[in-house]
Amino acid sequence: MTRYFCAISLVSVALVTSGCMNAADGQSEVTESTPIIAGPPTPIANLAAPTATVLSDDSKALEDNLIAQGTSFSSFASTTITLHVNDTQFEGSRVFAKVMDQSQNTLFLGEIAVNAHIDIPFEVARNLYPLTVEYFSNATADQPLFSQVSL
Amino acid sequence: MKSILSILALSSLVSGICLANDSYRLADTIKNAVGDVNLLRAQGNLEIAPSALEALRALNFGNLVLGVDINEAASGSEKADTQGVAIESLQLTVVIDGQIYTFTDFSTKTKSVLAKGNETSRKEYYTLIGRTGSNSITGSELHNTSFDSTISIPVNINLSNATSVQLDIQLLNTNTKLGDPEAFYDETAGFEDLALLNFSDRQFLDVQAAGQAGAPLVVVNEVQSSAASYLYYPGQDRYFVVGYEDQYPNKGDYDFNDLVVAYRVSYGLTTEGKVTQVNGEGYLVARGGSYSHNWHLHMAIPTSAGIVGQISMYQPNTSETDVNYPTYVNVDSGLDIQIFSDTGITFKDDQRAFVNTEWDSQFVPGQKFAFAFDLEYPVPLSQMPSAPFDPYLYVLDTGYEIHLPGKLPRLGYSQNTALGIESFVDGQGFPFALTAPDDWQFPNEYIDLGIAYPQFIDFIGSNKDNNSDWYLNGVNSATTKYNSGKWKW
Repeated sequence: MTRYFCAISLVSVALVTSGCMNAADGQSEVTESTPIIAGPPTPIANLAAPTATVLSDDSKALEDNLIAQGTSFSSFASTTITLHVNDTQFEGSRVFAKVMDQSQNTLFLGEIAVNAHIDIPFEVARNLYPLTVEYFSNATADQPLFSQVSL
Repeated sequence: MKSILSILALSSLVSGICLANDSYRLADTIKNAVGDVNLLRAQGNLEIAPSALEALRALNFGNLVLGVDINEAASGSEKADTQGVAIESLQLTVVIDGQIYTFTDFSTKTKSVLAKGNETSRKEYYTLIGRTGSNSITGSELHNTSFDSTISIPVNINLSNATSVQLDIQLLNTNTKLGDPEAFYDETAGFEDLALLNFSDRQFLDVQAAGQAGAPLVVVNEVQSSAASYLYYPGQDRYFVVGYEDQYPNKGDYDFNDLVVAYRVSYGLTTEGKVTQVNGEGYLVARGGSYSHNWHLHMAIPTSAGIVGQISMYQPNTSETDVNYPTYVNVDSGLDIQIFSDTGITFKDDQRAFVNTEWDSQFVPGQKFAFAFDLEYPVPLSQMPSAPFDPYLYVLDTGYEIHLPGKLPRLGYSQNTALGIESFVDGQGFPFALTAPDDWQFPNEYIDLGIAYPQFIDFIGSNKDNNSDWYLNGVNSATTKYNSGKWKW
């Protein structure tokens, strides 16, 4: 049933697109004698996307699979971290924060106001969580404080 | 604008006085983090008269001022346009009539908070920041040099009769294992050239502030002109890579390489977390379609933020801006920049129809862009647009816009607007634009993304619970051989 459904879908897609596809390179041909906009094509983008994800058993190709409406394709995940240091945590007069991902890449670095609550939105590749938050000051006596934030 | 004019006026006024008191490039340099520098000997083994040194001290209001040419390795977060070192200690020793005078106070225009050696606790150190080839001092002995930062040493004695003026300087060995800021301010390559500066050259370098915009954790000593912190999307050394299928609204071949662009954005923030700066840069990576495109980056910055800044475009492998750049921007809100234009003309492989997407093609570097905007009225982070923002194509051949799913058409003249087409997924539910981390190596020409990356379908099908590193596990023969180290010139 799954394969049958996919086959019908692919046939209809092929019918819609065949009129303007070049079999050699998969690109539409546009020549000087051809109007750039030859009238509105049937917009596949306006066809309803499948309501359920139907993955092929034997093909990983996107061409052979259907993905449900509203599916997100982002490899990134959003998270918000509240940066906050109260005035009793450090002796130093200036407080700084650093946020890094698992690849030690810096996401945030700089001075923050003591006692401020700053909500920082991050957008990080999902496999690079958890994030490491470090607070430090300008006083040698202050050891840095660390915490971790998971997805 | 007013302050710039006044600095220029002051600079030209003082430069008139200083004509007989030129800057001198010194013979000694800082090597391997240590400087043992004779201030009475200029490059070419020429002597500098103590009276000339005294004149420079007087013109700098009782300070000896040194210019430093930063020459660090362009690795990690250090790169050609921003690099730095920190000063651990400095001592000036003057001998006059057999009497020895020592001076250890000094300052530079910037500081950072750094951990030394193997330590983990940090303290403030003065820093020197610069960039490759930053200096454009003219009408001076320093013409055609590349000095960056200044060191100011207060000296409260007359040097006219000095018989020896010796500077000992030690750069800080930072704990680079901590990453930035230590990794940035490490001392690696050296050597750093030095110069004794007159007032106008000092002013020039201080106003130029070379490399400061991109340096991490810059604590400016005087008026806070730069941001207190930076927030990086997707990371300080990372890029979003966005790949498009440009046959929209018709289904493409799912190779997501019809145009490939890498970009990143950083926000400069106040200590309270309000955004004062928006910076970005990126590259054209590949063009695997025969269509030509304009590439836009839209960031929905709130009304009345007062966005002022400039966009620069660089020809591949150069630091020279294109003709017509930089272009200046001054808008109230809603930043929507057409960054790359007519890619079919500006990004070509003379041997092929496609650029960098065929397995046997020779790599063609793409243009690089950079932008820097100040927000006149700081904006709370909660009101700023979310990454990865809205990177979109306008396909010149079809007249259609192509956005990430969930975004809306922007251009009043596009076919999307004319025909009311707002969806950016196809009949099988797949998008026409996809962002990935910069480790992703896009599929070769005509190769379906799912064939090139067999875990991708499982990643999507599992609601992204499985195979979140799918983009690291491509099939070698199906993906481009060019990684970010190639296109990030």
